[in-house]
Amino acid sequence: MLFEILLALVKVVVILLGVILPLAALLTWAERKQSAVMQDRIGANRADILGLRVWGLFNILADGIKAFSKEDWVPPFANRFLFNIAPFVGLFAAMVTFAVIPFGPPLTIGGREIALQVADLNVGFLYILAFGSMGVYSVVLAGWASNNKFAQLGAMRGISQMISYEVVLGLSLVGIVLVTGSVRLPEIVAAQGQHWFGWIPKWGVFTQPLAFLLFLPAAIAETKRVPFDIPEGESEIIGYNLEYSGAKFALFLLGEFMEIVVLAALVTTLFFGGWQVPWLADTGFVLGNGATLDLAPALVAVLRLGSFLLKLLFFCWLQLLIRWTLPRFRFDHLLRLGWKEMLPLALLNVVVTAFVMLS
Amino acid sequence: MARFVNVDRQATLKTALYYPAVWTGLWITARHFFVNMGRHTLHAIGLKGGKPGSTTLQYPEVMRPLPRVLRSLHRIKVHEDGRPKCTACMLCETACPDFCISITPMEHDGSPEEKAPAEFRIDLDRCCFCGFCVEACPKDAIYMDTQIMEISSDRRENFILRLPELLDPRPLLCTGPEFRGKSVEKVLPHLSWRRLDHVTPVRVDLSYRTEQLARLHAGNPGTRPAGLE
Repeated sequence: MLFEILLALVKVVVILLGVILPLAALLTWAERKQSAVMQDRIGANRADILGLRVWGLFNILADGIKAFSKEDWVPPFANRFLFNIAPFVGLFAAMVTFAVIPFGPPLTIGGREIALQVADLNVGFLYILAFGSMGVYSVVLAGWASNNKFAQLGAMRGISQMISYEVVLGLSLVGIVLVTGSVRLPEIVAAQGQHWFGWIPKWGVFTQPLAFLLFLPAAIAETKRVPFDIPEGESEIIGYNLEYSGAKFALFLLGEFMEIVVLAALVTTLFFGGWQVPWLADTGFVLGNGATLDLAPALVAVLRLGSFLLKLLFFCWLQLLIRWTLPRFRFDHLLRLGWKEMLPLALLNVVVTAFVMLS
Repeated sequence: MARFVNVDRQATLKTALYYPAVWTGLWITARHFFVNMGRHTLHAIGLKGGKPGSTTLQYPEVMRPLPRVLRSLHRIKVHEDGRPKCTACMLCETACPDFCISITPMEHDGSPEEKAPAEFRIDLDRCCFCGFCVEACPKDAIYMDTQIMEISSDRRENFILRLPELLDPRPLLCTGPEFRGKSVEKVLPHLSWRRLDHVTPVRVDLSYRTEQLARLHAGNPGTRPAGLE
């Protein structure tokens, strides 16, 4: 029992401090650099330590020092307690979602099977949706506790947007559950290891293409990033984090970047086979025409972990690409898209999938 | 009378679906990303020949090539013996629409023109860089071809150019914080990338003014004569 608890703690520390936090910090740099490269610029490259620049990587450090050395200002008219906890709620919701993501196949070390997942909940799928919707509390509390009209208007936009898109988010995932027949994420990933005719992997994106096309925008809307950044709208309409400054404002941003990582992990797990590599079975590659290539179990495990990381990074990159390509929706367009276009399609997807699964 | 124009904004299926346009946009930005990343990578591994990955110029270190006809900071040309070419004829001061030029003339027996500026002031706070002074000058003395444009200061008096700065404008570039407290002779070699050769005077000789300045100072003890150092 003690061993189990220790193991879970080690997993939490390794995943949180070893993967998500560094990746989120790196994304602040990647966002500036990637947008620069996309726009034929160079991007941040001036922060240096003893003349060493390393492509501007020290800008992460400089940003952190700047945020934490600023005054931690709480407006006198604000609700102090709620104002202070709001950014932490968002951060918390983003962090705990990672607990149920299986980032690798179960390892067998010394006769003991170790699942590469912090918590193998049998309601993993509902857990994701539940904590995904926790994110909205951060926006609501920030806007309400600031006691500022503009912040509150931003929070109200945030609520209506995030709750609208949560409906589509949940319904688009129902299709995946119907196809794989489980709400446990390891089983969802394992089910995606099969192939049609031995060649086409049964990834969620192939079994549920419409669900994927609905899930991606809905999930980006949940992260409140650019095509859907109406709650914040930094360039003109200003939003829920208007009264925040210094470290707490940085926490909001860090929470957003964590949501990018979490979303990338979710898309990978639910639609792109998680840690599965196409045609790679436990013994090695098995191709559709019967050809096999035997590999050592350790190599297979490394390949699968690498495949998860690669997919994770690709979807982080894709989200940054989307954020620097598309302009923001108008608010009525956003709600119309959510309720009148995406919701019927999501319902249709569920119904059609159910009929296909029955017949 | 107002005109009413009926515009049919019915979305076609293609635009209503969003996705075709979205993927087109993503394709364009992704292509830029990969092409530029490829070029950056080629440069990083040492292949300097190809196209650059970005159009950025690292400005303080690298200067954008400026057109030769650009009107930048003023200068006054010198003869080979170090004398200013200006003969204090006042034509530029007359032509100036902003009244930013003020010349104090003096007699100069050593020159063929027998006249020279004791002081030549240009108030850059007023100057509109129209170039009329350059066109008015009959002696080809005043020019605006230094290509110096970084004119900034927190003090008004630093915007008043005097004769020594007009004859050799290079020290004006050495006012940045990184040059503070350093002598101009040490800083100037580091600014070689600015290509200031064309504004570098062979010799500056203002010794003809010393007697005149001393006389003016003596005539007005305790006060600084207007327009003079």
